[in-house]
Formats: sequence, C-alpha cells, structure tokens
Amino acid sequence: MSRSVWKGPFVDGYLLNKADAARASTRNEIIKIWSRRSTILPQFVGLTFGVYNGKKFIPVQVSENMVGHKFGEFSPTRTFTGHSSDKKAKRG
Amino acid sequence: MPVERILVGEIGRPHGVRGLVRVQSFTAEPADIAAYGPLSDESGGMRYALQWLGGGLARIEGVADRDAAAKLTGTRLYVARDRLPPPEEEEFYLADLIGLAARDAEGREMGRVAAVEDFGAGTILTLRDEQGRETLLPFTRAVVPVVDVAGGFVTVQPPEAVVVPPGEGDAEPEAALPEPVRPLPRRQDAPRRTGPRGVRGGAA
Repeated sequence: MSRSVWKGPFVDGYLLNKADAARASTRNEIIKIWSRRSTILPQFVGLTFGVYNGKKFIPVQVSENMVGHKFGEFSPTRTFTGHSSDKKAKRG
Repeated sequence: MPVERILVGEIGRPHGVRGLVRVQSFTAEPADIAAYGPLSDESGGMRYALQWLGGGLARIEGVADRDAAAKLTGTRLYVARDRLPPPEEEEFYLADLIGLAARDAEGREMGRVAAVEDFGAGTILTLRDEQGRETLLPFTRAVVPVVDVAGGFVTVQPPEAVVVPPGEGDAEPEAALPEPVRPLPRRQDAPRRTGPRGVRGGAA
C-alpha cells in the first residue's frame, strides 16, 4: 500500500537543515548521510550527497527528475561489475 | 595511456544446426557489436565477421554448421580501440578512463581510476590507491577539472566531506512539511445518524 498523501513526504529533519546550510555556502562539498529512507525534496536539487550503502558513501548528485524518490534508490547495496566495452561517461 | 583493444562480447552456445550462435554483447546497444567490423579473439589471430540477428543470436561468416559453431563457444570478442567513433565533447569512453592516474591540484598521486559507475545519480569515479583504499568521486567539472586521456592522468579536487550522523536533530521531522498537516476526519468523529433504523430481519 502506498503512503497516505495527507502525511506529506517523509524526510529526516536534520537533512533539511544541512541542505539549507549547504545551499548557502559556495564550497564544493559532499554531504554524507545514512538516511536512505528520506524522500528527495525539491530543496535538495543541485546538491551532492554521499549516501551510505552499508560499506561506502555513494555520491548522489540530485537532479530535478529524482524528486520524490528515496535516497537509497541511488545507492545500491549489492555489487555489480559489468564490462566497460564501448560505454561512455559524460562529465556533469 | 589508451587501451588498444576493447572486449565487446563473448560467443555462447550454438543455436540450431546452421551455424548460428548465441552472443553475449557487452556494448551499450547489443546490436552495435556487429557495427564495428570484424572482431578478433583474445590472441588477435582469428577474425570474425558477425551478422547480428537480434535476440542475442548472430551468424558468423564462414561458420555453416553446428559443429563449427560449437568450437567457438567461450571465445571472447575484441575490437580495436581506434574503430570506435570519437566521443562527443565532455564524453569519455569508460575504457579510456579506467587506469588513468589520479593527481590532486598539487600533482600528488592519489591512486588510479579503478572503475566508472553510474547508479542513476551521475557518473562516479572510483579511485584506488596503492594500499587498496577506495575513494568515490562524482565525475563533474568541479571535482575532476582535468581529464587528459593521452597524458594518462586526471586531476581531481576531492570535495569537502560534511558528515551528518544519524540522530542529529532527528527530533524535528515536522520541519519537512511546508504547511501543517490537517488529519482526515476519523469515522468516530462523524456525527451520529439520527432517525429510525431499518427493520432488521426483513418483513417477518
């Protein structure tokens, strides 16, 4: 069953405070968090979080189309190694 | 230092009796494995011209029966790096990035690029130093300002880490909500019905 709409999105409160502080500063920083359960809010767009996957902090650059998802969705807990082959990476 | 040959696939089991084979393609688009011209094996001695049939099936030129196809099972297919089209601006082949030396702004060695991954939230470089320690960095202009594939190095400026331990300020989750929540009316709060009830048990 999906979450009731009247409750609003769940997010750990301390993330909001930290995100506000990070937006105010112009430094190049990565916010390390353990809260995989928190919903990504529009306030987080443009920030980079390090989301813990049980072993390491996976960098998550928040973009607009990630709003509404959970942080944990972008920090897999299982290892997958594929072949690089002809795949390309774009520098953000 | 760019690699000379890139692994693009592997020949699997034969399919049918006319020499078709299953091919596991590692390319971004599976059909592209046949687009780079003849492929070579691990030693570089044999060359295979593939015709991609879709669904993981391919026909290899010169292979007409099942026995010949079965002999190729397990063969890894390589393509020369210079056959790949040049990437666009700000794009890099993963094969080019992996193995580059990582240096900081002062030129100190920070290890090598061990992997390049993308879990849906931007590309990530994994650096591994001589002690085996891994550092994950977002692949952005701010963090990786210089990528010199020909020179064999990347310059990185690791971002400052801000740690937010769980529990800090945890007592204020309400701050997340833009406006106070009005709970839905509960059933017991609804006004009681007045008036006659229906007759139970029917007309009897």
